[in-house]
Amino acid sequence: MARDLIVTERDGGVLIIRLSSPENRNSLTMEMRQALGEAVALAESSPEIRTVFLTGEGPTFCSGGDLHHLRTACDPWTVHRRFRNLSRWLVPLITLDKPVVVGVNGHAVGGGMGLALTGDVLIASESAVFMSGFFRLGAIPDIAMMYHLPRLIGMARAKKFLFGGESFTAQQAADLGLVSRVVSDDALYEAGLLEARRLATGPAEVMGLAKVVMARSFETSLHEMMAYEGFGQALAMSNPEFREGLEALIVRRPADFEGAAALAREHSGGEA
Amino acid sequence: MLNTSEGGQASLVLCEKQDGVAVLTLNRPDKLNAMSGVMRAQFGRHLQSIEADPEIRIVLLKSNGRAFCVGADTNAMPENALSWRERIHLAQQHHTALVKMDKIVIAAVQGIAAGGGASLALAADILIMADDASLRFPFVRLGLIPDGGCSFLLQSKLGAPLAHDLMLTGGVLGADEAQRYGLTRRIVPVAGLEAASQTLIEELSALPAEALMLTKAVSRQTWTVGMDAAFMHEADAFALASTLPGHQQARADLLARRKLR
Repeated sequence: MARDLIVTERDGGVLIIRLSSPENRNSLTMEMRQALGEAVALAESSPEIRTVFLTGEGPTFCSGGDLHHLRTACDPWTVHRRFRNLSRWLVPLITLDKPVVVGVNGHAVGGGMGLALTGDVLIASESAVFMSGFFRLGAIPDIAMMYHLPRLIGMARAKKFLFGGESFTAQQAADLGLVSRVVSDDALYEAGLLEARRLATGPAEVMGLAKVVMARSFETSLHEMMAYEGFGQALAMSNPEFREGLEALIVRRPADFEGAAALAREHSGGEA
Repeated sequence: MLNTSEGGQASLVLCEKQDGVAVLTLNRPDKLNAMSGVMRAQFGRHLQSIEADPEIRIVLLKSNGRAFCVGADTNAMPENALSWRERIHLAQQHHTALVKMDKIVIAAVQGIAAGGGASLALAADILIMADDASLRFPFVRLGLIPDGGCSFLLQSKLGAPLAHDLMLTGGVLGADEAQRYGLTRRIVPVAGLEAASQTLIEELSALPAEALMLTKAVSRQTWTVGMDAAFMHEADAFALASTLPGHQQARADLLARRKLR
């Protein structure tokens, strides 16, 4: 392989993951999925990584599935196998217990839109466009699009978007609440990274706990949710980030959550 | 035959792959196969390589020595609730992988399978027990709760009343009881465990792989309903239990007994 399809880079507590195949419009080839899975596994297994910033290189965020590959790899058993493999990269990304910022730097099409929607905070460049495109192909929406989109904008709007073959501009996506902020193309990378850094210097482990509890919201009854909330808060308050936040608020100084978490890791030592 | 070992590190878990079969062997017999952090990590790496290998159709879980696995190594216990939770998550992930992988998983159990070791045996699709085998659930005695998905797996496979009796009393389920209550239909003399495993592997290997895979998938959809949420609940509750006086006391007693020795 000429070069890495995914470039990962550490920036303090942030793991930057860049889709780095602009000549292929960052399409989700098998190799790209594999590399993305490895990057997510790195984020998952490294305690010093507190947040993730996921973005793409070039004018496209991600164009989704690789159409040329599909011509030769669409027999039923191969397709069934390929979707079973989503548990290796997509599910870990969705369930990652750390805040994920996605910088949508351009077109997010099909599976590429599905990928963008896995983020906790989306920031889009002015030229970003969200498109489904699946029904142009005669395929059903994938990469968790049918899971996320109705949850994010409601079932009726999701159906209108998908069945209508619509696309959202960055601003339309922001108006719907899919995207938290629209910035100029030049400013996107910096804005996304700044947001990921801001989250990393916050109580990122505790936010991760909240993320996991919130992810259960749509599948969980009130009584179960209250039980999870109780466990979650008990865990949060056993965490060094909480002790730091509480102390800092009481003596009116800025909290150093990242420092408190790092110190606690040092003290607990390398557990076998 | 490929016997994977890691550079400089003793192989606490052996993995042999041959003719579509992966044999995963817990190999810490002097410690009754207690899972240390290093051993857990080795186990996870082997599982990943098995999962990613489309050639492998059948997995045999077994162990060297007189015990199957006595669960987590209590010599290196996590210091705080969140690291306990991570450790529980890891064991759960491994057991989930066994349940969800498109390969038929057989566990061959001799001697003691306690705590996480019992959960591991319960994660297999087909359980073969030697007549001296027992599943043990000592968690409450340590002020902790069953982990590794134990509560869900035991209730799904044995039913709630028996699962509660075992887990709430820190009980022991012997091979004959396991057979009587429907957890397994395969009890063999210890000396015949290896042969019984081989016979079953040969029987399964002769069948069309896709049909086995799809049968497991369809069956899983029914018996694992609610599993992911139950596992998360278990990890949270375990982490909470680890901070409470009951466990602190049990842990202090354990350390004191070790010093006396």
